Amino acid sequence: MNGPHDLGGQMGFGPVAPEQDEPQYHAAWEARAMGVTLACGALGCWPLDEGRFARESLHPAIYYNATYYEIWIRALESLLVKYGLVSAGELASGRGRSRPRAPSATDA
Amino acid sequence: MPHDHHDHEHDNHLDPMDARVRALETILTRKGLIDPAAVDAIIDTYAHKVGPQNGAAVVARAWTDPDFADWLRRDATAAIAAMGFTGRQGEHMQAVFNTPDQHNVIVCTLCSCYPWTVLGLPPVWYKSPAYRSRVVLEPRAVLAEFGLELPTDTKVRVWDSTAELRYLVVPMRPEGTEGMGPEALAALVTRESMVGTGLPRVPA
Repeated sequence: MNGPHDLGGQMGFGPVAPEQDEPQYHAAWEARAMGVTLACGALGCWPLDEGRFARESLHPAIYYNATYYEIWIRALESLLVKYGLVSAGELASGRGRSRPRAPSATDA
Repeated sequence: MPHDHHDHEHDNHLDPMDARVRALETILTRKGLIDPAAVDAIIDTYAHKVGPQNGAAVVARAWTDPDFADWLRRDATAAIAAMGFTGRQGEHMQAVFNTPDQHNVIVCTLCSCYPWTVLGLPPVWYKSPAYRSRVVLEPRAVLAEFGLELPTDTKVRVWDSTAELRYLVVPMRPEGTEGMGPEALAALVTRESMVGTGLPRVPA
């Protein structure tokens, strides 16, 4: 099916902005996102094509706004829930636990 | 993890994606679904073992070994595998050779299919909507944004990669490199020259 990913020939995205000496990742979490996604792929629950389809199935408003590895993580989360490996509640509470906290005496 | 020189570990500075990925990795680790050491190993593989240096070695060998070049043209998957570059996202490869008449460029309009085994992880611009949408529409204008202006009588051919078949551009060997060995030649072969958005360096 077509969708937001089907970009060939679309107009309006502006010029390409190649970056000199581009780093492999632009934040540490991007490396973890890549590694976690590949590690989960190795569980063998879904084929690569289904992983791709999960990314392509994101709502266009999300797909166009998300960075590349954010698209990967959102798709991975949806697959983990679909295959019963992680519940939506666990994802939500996990995220809740990571909210900013006040510095404590144990922070160096 | 290695190589995160720009980042720091203070929880109170986490951006939402950082928090989201940390939470996910924690949940998966607690459930025994993944091992953080395996994630480290995957990251390390793509930092040090799989990258454009592999593709540069393939191109340099093609420039210096006509039999290998012929094999690469006929069966890139086997020729590249014979150099030890096998694995994920490189299962089926086609090498497209630049000539004075035709310059080749690769893209994945649908996502980010890219020959990982020879080029490593794709750069951000390759995955960007701007590149994916427009390089098939007005390739010369896009190449100009990379500083690449081709002669007007050189045809530009754009190859749209798929999940099954990935392409490697074999650029033309630069003039003035006669007598150089494969190792010195490989140092001239840039990632962009193997995607088609650039040309190899010329010897100093």
